[in-house]
Amino acid sequence: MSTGPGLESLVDQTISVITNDGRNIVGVLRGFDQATNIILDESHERVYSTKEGVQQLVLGLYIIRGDNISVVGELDEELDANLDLSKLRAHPLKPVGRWTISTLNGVFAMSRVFPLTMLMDEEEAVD
Amino acid sequence: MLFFSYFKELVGKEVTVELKNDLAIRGTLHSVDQYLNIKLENIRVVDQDKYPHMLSVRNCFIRGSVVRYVQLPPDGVDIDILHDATRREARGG
Repeated sequence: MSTGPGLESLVDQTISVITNDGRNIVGVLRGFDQATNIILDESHERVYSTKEGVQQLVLGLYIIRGDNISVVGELDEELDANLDLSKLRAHPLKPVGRWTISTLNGVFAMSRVFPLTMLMDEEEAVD
Repeated sequence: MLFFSYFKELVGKEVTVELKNDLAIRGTLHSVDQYLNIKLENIRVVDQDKYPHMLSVRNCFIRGSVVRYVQLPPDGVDIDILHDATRREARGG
């Protein structure tokens, strides 16, 4: 009972991974462990943009560290075939962000921070 | 352990999981584990026009560490049972 959902049922299936930095990587799940580290075969990254269609970058065989994984989605090949990626326009997904504690004039403040480079990728502001 | 047991009771119910990257995913709770990782079925992203990134995904696994909120159906919440369980957990847990 305590091993719960696991990714067992998704092995050898095509999956769509969303990482903590907001990237979307699609590939075939070959292996995983309790820390959600995964082995992804035939993988490619789908880069979303508001200016042009989805760009697909071929990556190959990857290990993605579980620390960095947000979502593992089971890709439905039928639904995916119906998508016209060249027509899709979207802001890239936001990074998860990390909490940091800092002091300001002797007062402790907790704030959520993002990597600055991620926010400056697009010209428009990310809401 | 309390929330693990609690979520097990909610399997089959419709929930909305809001993630730390602001993505919100609605779906049927399929399973949960000790890390509060969540598996949802028949998902629909809440603002699908803003987030088309999961259009081809029907079922997904959400890592517990990335969950901000799990929105529950009001009739899925029995406050008295939760109170008792919390008291027990505080005492012996």
